[in-house]
Amino acid sequence: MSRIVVVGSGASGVHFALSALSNGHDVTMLDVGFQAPHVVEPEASFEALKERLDDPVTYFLGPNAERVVYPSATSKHFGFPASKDYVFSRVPSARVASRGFEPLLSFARGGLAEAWTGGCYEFGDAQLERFPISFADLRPHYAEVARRVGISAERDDIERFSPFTAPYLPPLAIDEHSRRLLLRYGARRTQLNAALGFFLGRSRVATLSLDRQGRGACANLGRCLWGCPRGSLYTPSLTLRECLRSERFTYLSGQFVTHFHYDTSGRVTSVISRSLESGSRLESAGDLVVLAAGALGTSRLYLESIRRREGRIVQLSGLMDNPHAVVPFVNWEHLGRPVRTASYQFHLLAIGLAADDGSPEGHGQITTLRAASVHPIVQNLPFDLRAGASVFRRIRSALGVANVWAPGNRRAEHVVTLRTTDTGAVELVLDCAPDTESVRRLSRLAVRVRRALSRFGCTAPAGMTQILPLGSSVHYAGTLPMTEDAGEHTCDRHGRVRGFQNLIVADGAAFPSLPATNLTFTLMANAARIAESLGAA
Amino acid sequence: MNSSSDDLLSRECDIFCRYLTRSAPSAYLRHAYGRGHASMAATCRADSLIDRALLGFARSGVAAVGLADAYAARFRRGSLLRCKLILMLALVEHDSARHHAFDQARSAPRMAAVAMLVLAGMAWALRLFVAIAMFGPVQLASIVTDRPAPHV
Repeated sequence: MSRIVVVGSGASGVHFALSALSNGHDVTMLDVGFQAPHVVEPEASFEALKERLDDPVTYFLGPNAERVVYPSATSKHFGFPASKDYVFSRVPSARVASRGFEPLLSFARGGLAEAWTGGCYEFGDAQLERFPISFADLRPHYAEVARRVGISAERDDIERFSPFTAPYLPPLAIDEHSRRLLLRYGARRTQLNAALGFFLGRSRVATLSLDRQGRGACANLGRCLWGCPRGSLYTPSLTLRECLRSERFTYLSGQFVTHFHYDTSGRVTSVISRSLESGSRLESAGDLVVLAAGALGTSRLYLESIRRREGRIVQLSGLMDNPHAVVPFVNWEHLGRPVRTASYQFHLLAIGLAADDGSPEGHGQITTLRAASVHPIVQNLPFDLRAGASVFRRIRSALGVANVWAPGNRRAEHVVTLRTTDTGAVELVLDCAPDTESVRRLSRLAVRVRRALSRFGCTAPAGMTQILPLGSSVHYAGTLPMTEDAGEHTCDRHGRVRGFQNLIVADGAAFPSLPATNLTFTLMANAARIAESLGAA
Repeated sequence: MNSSSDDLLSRECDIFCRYLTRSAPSAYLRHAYGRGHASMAATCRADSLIDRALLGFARSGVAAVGLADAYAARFRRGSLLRCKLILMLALVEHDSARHHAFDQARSAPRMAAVAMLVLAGMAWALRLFVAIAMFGPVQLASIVTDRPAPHV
């Protein structure tokens, strides 16, 4: 029987752990593990919640309304609510300095995917071209993860960009606005496919359309952004709960892992963590150490361990994130129609963008506006706030937003390293030189989406399209890539870090490339695959 | 905070709430505005003459807020006045008594909706025209007075 130490409880960590447990291994998980607040009024809809709570302002905006979105140079159309503060709470000693990259880190129980929107897409062989594994290697693990997670999906034109092989649930109920967009696409499909390489279908989401495994199907409460109170929208903390049912699983929360020890033969002997509560040091030993703290967290641990053991500061190159554009639009056909805030809040439509040769080039998701915080949107309209609120009420039913992603661009100039500050503290440094090529490519994709939307009778003002800074997608990858060829700071196809005997990277750090399609499903499937490759204990 | 600044805060809360919702704030909203105002102060400031002028004018009444906001929305989006109004908007959209006005779309036949939008746009354009005439010279003066003194 192997004793495995897993660092991190995010999407990769929990699926690695669950697969390892089911194969008879002992797993100890080290995690900071900030916890979600208690669910309030689990059956109340978005609007009912405002009426039932004694202090709705504190729930939605925080005790001092600190979650109000104020104008800034990078104004967003939404803000994370106070109920998601635990996802982004920082550990003070985990310092990060960045240039050309805006990182989001999480120390939450379940990691960053506690605040995701649930997009789940299999990577086909085209997307896995630079991986040392093929779709056939991942396929059974997509199926296993889909059974654990529960993914609602429909077979349609998006299959051209993402295989449809896992056991999916029926699609979620579609709202009227999304349905009309899909109908318009159906009427112009051939033309849009040929002229713009634009394909539209249902988004595949980790949200239950049927009750299963003690979780309720989506009840259209319109509370997705604030945290699904029914567990219909999957988050990794649900799989962590499954792990906790195993007596071979030990979960040590409140532990900030600083580094690991290894000997001259490259054998990792223990993992060192510090209790956030008492400050005491904990040394955890295992036969195998698995880094699953997210690409940035894993990179920090790897770099810091080498710095402490060998006294040298290493640079990891190739940090990636998907370039991300936001394309708001008005669908004039839907103007003046009623809006139901009691409906699924996130995207229900997915976009595929094909290159001239037909290969996948871009990915997108369309969210029509239903339940939402109004003030971040109204302040971005070109009116005074009273007129803006009035105009918003009249056009609300016609509003939507397309999020568009381009593939991550793996560049040697995108570096992750460490730096010792004047005070002697060590901080993670993310240094990404401007990438004009990626911005141009993303802009071209956004233009194609705008053109397609205009053929649906929508207006997507060019001036309102936002190209977000690198790091905004929170699809971080590529710092310790899986490669066929041996090389320093790389992994083999099973995530085993070269130069170490028993160190595995099971998260996005091991991805050698980053397709435009959302990576989270592949993160989970790949972690399960790596765990399965260990065999039975 | 002293009583005169409390009074000022209470007065602007009243005016801004009436401006956005056409009704006076409840005790709950007044309390929430006070708490939110304290945390907002770290984000938004009124350093320049034009920002101080916009805020001072807006505090004189509901009609004045409309003019000052029309100008700020176009030319001073990050001004303190705008931040205060956004705070009030965020509070009223989450208030149990007022959220319906924001959460429910005004449904109407499409042509009627377009006509209403055109009317709303024209009213806004008129307010903006008057506001530019009022605040444009102040902003020009602000550019001069707020310019940092040259090093000698």
